[in-house]
Amino acid sequence: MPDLDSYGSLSDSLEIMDQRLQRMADFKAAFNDSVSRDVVKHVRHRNSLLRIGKLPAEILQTIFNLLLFSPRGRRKSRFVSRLTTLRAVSWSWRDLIGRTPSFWAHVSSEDHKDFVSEALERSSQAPLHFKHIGKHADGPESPFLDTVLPHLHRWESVAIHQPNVHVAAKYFSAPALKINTILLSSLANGTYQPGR
Amino acid sequence: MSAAPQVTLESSDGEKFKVDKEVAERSVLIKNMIEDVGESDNPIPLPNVNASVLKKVLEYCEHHRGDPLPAADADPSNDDNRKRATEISDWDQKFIQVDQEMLFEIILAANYMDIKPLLDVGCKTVANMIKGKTPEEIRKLFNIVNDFTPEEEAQIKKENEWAEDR
Repeated sequence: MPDLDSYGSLSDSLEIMDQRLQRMADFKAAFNDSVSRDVVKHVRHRNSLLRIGKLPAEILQTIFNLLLFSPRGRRKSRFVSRLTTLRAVSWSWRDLIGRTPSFWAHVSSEDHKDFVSEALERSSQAPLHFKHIGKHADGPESPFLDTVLPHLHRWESVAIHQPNVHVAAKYFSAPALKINTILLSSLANGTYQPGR
Repeated sequence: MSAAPQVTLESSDGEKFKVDKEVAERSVLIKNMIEDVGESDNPIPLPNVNASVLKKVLEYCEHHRGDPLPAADADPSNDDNRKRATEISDWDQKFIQVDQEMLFEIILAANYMDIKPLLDVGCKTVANMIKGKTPEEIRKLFNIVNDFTPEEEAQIKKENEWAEDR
């Protein structure tokens, strides 16, 4: 049987061993993380060597544009889904789409609010196109129109379908200097016609 | 009747192609070179295009030799321009049915030689290949390996909610 001193020294050893094991676990995690990042870096380099990876950015942007917009510049159906799909292919596609403001300059009140926020930020100073579809039950305020109002200076085409005319009136009290097309309708399911 | 004026083009691998000037001038790059240098018997070097790709590009130029040249500022709201922007003619579709490597080489050559209608055909073809596919299917199509970090993957998963039920 070990005496008390032995128990004491065993306890000290466990503490030291636990510290040692923790240091090893930390090292292992840091090593794994470092290797993972190195792998990602190498895979990205590999992807850049592919034929499609060698296309200049403006050609890829043309291809994405064909997939996202009609020749008249309208959003194609399932636009957000198409955009998120392209962004989920590879880091370089994601990066290119993320820094192309025109891909983000078309929003709708029917889009997810996080998408609208992201789009307004990423579209930077690009001319903005939006569609708002209101409902009979709407009060005088529209959260969507409140979100796009600070970007009034770059509104280019606007479609507002709002049965409650007081809502639309509130957002046209200041001049939108770059506006090109306005489509106002009291119907809640009108057609969006930007870019004309 | 005098023969049509001709020019000689030289590919990156040294092969020479004698073609009608009208055909060569479908390329804005070559048209500008001829205008700048004047007519000459010296071959026009194309250091970024190899012989097999140049042969294919010249096949396209030959077929479209009489077509009106596209305006630099074509109005997309014009019905004809819009039609051209969305459609690929039957001949062009058949012409562009090549393996992926040649397709991208043609796109790069059309870009370098500044042949906008050919570049459009190439871009539309790639867009059609991507259309309707999932990210994984697109990666497989182009031999792309998923290169996202776990943090980026998590963000992508979150962004998928943007597209749900909309």
